[in-house]
Amino acid sequence: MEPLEGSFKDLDASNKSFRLFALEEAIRGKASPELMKALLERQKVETDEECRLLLAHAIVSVRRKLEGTHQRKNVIDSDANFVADYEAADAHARMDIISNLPISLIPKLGPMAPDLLKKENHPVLAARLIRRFIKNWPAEHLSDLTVHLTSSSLCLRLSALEALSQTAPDLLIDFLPGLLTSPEPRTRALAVRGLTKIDMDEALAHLEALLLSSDPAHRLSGLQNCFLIPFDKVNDILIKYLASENDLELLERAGWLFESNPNVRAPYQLWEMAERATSEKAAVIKKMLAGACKILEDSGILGDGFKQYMERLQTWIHQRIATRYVQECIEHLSSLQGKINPEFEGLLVKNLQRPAIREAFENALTWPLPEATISLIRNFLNPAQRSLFASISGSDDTLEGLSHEDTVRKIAGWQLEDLPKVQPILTKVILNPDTPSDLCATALRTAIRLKVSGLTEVCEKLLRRNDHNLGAAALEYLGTFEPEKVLPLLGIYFQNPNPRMKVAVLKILKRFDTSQALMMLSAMLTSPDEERQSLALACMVNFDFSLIRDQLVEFLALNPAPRFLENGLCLFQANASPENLYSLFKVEKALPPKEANRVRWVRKLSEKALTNAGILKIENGLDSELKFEEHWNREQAKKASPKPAYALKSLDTTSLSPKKQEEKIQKYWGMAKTILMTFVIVFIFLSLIVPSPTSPKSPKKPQDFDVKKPGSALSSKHVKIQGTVLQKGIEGNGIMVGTQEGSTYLLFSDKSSQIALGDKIQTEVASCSKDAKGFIRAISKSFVIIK
Amino acid sequence: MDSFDVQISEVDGIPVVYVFGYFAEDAGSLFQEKVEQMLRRGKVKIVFDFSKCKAINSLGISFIVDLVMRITDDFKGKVVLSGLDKLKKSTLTMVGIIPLADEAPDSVTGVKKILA
Repeated sequence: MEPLEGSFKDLDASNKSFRLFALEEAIRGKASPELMKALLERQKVETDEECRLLLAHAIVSVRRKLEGTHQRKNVIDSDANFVADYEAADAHARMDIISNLPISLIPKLGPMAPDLLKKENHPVLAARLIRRFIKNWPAEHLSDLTVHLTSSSLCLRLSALEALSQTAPDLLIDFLPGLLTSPEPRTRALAVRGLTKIDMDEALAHLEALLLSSDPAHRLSGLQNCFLIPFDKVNDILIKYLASENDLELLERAGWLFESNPNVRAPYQLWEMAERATSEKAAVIKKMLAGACKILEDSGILGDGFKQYMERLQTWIHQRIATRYVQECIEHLSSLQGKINPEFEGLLVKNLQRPAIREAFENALTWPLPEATISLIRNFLNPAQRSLFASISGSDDTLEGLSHEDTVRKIAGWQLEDLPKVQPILTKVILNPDTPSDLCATALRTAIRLKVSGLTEVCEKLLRRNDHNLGAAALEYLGTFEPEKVLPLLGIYFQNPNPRMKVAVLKILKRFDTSQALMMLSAMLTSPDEERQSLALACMVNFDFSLIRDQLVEFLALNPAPRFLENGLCLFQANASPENLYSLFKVEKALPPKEANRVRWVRKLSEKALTNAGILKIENGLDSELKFEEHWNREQAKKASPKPAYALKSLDTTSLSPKKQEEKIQKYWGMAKTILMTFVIVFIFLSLIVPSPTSPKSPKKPQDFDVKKPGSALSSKHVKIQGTVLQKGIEGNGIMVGTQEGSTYLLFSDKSSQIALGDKIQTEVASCSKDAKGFIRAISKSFVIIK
Repeated sequence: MDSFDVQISEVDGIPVVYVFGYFAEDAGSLFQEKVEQMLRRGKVKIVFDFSKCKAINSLGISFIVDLVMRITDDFKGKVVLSGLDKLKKSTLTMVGIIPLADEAPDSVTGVKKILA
């Protein structure tokens, strides 16, 4: 038996529109015994009426194709009696009649289709009529189809929407606001496709919202759209999408676009992303990057210049690694207010031994930095100054005889190649309860950098100490090596006023829920508190620049105070890319002349650097200036004219106002905090009156979480559950499990491939939260198959 | 820009459309023109062979989507895609062309599938 292909796999999808699409394909496409078996299996469990009718027809259709009899039943071969025969037939026979109409009859019968549609009461048949006759539908009756755009039948709605998108997209305009905000992914995706024929800019804005949705089904629909829109229009949106996507299967699909469409900018953008991604995500992005380079060669768009292109890319990569490090150092130096901490110093001295890093620091002296920071950089670049610390940084494992500060410097300077020698000492320092907090924090950060795992237990204890530096390091460690332990608690830690804790939370959250992290960042930027705004700017170094560029532009245009402008411009310089140039131009336009000149200077500098690196081709500087001016004028004219009702900004889809975002975050985490506090109180109370569940006299029972609110963080406690596997392959390695107690879990585990549908399993789960559909999402470490 | 070409030959009465080089907009237009000629001659069972095609970009995909839909829906015909590498197969599956069109490792098997 061969596995089912493509959309046929969606016959069991939880989303109805995906099932409908799979059934349509089954009716139209090739037949196979495997498909027949899958259809019959689905028939046993399908409860939706529309799907059931299509399913019955698909079964008949596939069976006849397999028997070779599909063209002999219910065939009408003349237009004379078509209407009478159709009206006399029952639903199944009507379905046959529509499907088996000879091609030669369709143009003749087209004029009758609107009348037939009016009389047809069954939505699935009405949908089939539209699909079959749409190419020959009388133009004066196309508007009749709009009534079905609001049909309660999904099948009919999708059919009318697809038909009008292809033939008369203008008729969709009045309906687009409703369609574009539909909770149903295919409706929304088809509406976006229709909108591409009316207003490409707005269609792209909606496509971006679809791709950045928190619902994977919406993101998948968005991706499918990307394949049907010219790649140069979707490239930048896809880069943002890739930066925020953490579902590896969806990432791989998005990768096919980069591997099929040659684009000289893509390898640069993909490399940037791989650098910041988790190791699993980076592996997928690097494969994409290799594919993006291969298609440049295969397509021949570079002529003989491919080799030269690859050399330039390589040089640029080396420069970027160094520049990024320098950017992080500068953020750190700016936050120290003159006091250099030994941990930072130790690592810096070690890194300054590399010529690329030294060169990047020298380049940074041209950035718009405060005098104090420039002076610190000059000091570090001074060989005499460096030698002060060179003696204490080294790969030897001796901490004996060093002062406290030198010990911190030394541990901070350890590199991956030192690991075999230093790992036991590092572990000892962290495990020793008498280690001073700042030294322990440095050791933990070094352990993260050197990928030393196995210290989560002690980190949980350290997190409870009242020391923000140590707490942030412990939180980051747990977020790296055992994220399920801290994910449900991030909201609580984010409310901690200490900047280190906030940064640690954002760093972790960014890896697991980028859109939530961005929302938090946006809330900080729009806060009236300047400290929070500064902190948000500092946090931006942890995000892919493509994701935060627009936020930064908006912020700088409204907040040109030197401390913000300097930091913001540094971010632009450190993340040089052609897309930055127009963004900087927009900032210039919004600022008074003095500040605008400063921004312009950075733009020109970036332009020069990009041209030197071969990323940008500017034949005439004036041309690009004129193009920006024209672009700007077009944008302003568009802003000044009334927004169409379908415009993303006119609709409340995913983009909430900053104030609402802040309220949402506070409410979200407030709720989580309340639930957790309740848990703690109930737990303490129960522990006083109930015997310990680990006691031999009280055997553990499979249990369900008491989950009340969607989206709420619940517990990091490990709990055993028992249930039946209802679905597999959800968001990659997820499985749906129904318990006897009536709860439905979405469990995520790298071992889920070992389990089959229908298996009864017992498992221990942690980090539960309830999603909007009422499913309990949790991480599962191991399974026992009971049956 | 790398060269492209679209050539047609008939095997056992079934047209096999071979795509060479990089399949983008220009190649797509030529491909569409040649397939439409086949359809006008009543040839509605066709093999599209991509074994010599280096890559298909998004615009190329759009041409294939349109033509496969047109052949299967409007002409009630049959399409077999042959010579697909992993990337091409994944992409065509993603946009729903496979399994609407059948797939074969090479054009000879493709013709056999059509005649079966």
